[in-house]
Amino acid sequence: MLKIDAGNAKLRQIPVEEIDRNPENPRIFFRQSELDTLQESIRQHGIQVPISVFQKGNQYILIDGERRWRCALKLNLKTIPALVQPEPDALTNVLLMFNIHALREQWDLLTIAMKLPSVLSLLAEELGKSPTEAEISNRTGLNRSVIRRCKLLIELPAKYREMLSAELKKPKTQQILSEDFFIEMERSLRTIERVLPGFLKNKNECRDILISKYKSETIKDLIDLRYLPKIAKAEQVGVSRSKAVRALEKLFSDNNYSLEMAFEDTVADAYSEKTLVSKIWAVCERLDELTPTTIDEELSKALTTLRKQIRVLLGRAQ
Amino acid sequence: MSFRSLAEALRDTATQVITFLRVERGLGKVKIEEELVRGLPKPTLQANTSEGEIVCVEFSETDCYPQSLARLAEDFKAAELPVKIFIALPSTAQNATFMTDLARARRQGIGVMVVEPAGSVTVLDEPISQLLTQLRRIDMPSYPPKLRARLSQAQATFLSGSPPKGCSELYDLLEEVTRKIVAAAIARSFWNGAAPTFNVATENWHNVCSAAYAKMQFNQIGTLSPQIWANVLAITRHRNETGHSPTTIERRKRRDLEMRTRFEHAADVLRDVIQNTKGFRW
Repeated sequence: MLKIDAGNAKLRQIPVEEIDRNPENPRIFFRQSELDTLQESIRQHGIQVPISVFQKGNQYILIDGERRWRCALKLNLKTIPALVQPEPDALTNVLLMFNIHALREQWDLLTIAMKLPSVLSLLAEELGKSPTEAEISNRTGLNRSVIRRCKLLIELPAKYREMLSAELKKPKTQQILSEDFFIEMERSLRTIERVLPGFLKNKNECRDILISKYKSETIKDLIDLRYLPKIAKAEQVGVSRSKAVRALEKLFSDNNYSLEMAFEDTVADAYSEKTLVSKIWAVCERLDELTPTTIDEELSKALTTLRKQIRVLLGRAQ
Repeated sequence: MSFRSLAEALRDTATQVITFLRVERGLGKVKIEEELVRGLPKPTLQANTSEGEIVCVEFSETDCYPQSLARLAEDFKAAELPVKIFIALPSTAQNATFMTDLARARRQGIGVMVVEPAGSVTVLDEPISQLLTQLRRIDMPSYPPKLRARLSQAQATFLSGSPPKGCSELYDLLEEVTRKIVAAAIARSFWNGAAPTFNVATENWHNVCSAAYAKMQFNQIGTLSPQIWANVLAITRHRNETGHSPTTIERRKRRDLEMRTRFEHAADVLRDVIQNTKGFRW
């Protein structure tokens, strides 16, 4: 639980110029268009919801409401309504940021990810051990899948984190690379490393190729990255490992060779068959539940057609 | 002072614009997010020119005429400040309504600059002082077609930041028209007493108008009245006033407001003269 008593907070009008941003606020990007929209709203209706701050010396440090404060600065307001809370300890301060912002706003995942290591370290200090995912989730309010996705982003080499960070600063409409792209790419490359050890000799080079293909639309959809683990695990669906390796080599050397093509050239048929088999088993299970009295005319006609097709197919197979 | 309100993504762009203002425009002290007028929004960048104007720059990721900018321009207009506002965008800005916004910005006298990632700045449109944008535009259909091009030119000169020159161009037109009316009146003997000995085309304009006010037979010249002519005569007094360029914001404001009134008044007087001399060939 967070160790802060909001009940002791006092609502006051405080000078805008005496407020500083909270260095622990993980939200590092504010888009101008969002600020402009809020600015217009404040200009017309004023600040309806007080910001939250704590006092540190002669200054106030923001807990909640950085966008409102920045708009107030721009609009040249002299004071701003604020709930002045007692100063939290370091861990509570960071956790407050997560609880207040991450649950309420659409934060960029990278923003959360970049701050997560300091949360982990402060939590470890408090608990005397590395926190579990459940403990992190409980204290930050983030669900476990978000935490896992954050970890993938934190572990990206600095060059790619910077690339993503630069992309996220752009307006949404101009962004090409997204956090989801990097997460899908990392998951896929990790599968390749696990299934085909030694294949990825230069992982950064492979990352660069995938990024370049995505930018040039040779990879049309980031979901296509999910073909990579399927190709790598070709043996599991009865396709030879060497065929998979050849396709992956071509993928990382031929600029025009897409993931979809690599999938078609290797395991597409096998997966298609696998899908068909699983559907057939699902139909069989459903048929087991039927009795002759529950078969109506339409179902009877469909089953007759199916029987004919099965006979023909099995006859050919024999 | 550093940026606090401006979005992080635009801070590099803003830094490049500061360099541009210093190097290309010679604006030494560029203030960042400081108050210009108490109670009005703080411009992101502002600098005073040696001609007593204030250059402000706002920033946007995509739009060259965001709503916040429109409001800011209105505020500065209401405060009657000689402020020139630029909107600066990174060259990567993409917006389907860019051209429409550009036209809107132009109508409001907002300058537009585009900043390349490498730092070079291209000015698409120069701004107009917000004090001048309030000029009442000339109603062209009220004037004969043959005068409209020059009227339009005078207005453009005024709005481009040279109010005295714009006024001067308009006075030139009024002078030409009134000299022709006086010459025609003398030629047709609509003149009380002996015809003047001076050359109407070359004599000082004020003297010509003054003599006409005293001796021209107004009842012969359409519906032109001595009252209308008195307005012409009043204008001839500051015909050649060029004055010194104002160097402070307060002087600039006073000068520009005065020029705006003079320009609007001269355009009205010209219209009155023309409309009241219909049927009288000059």
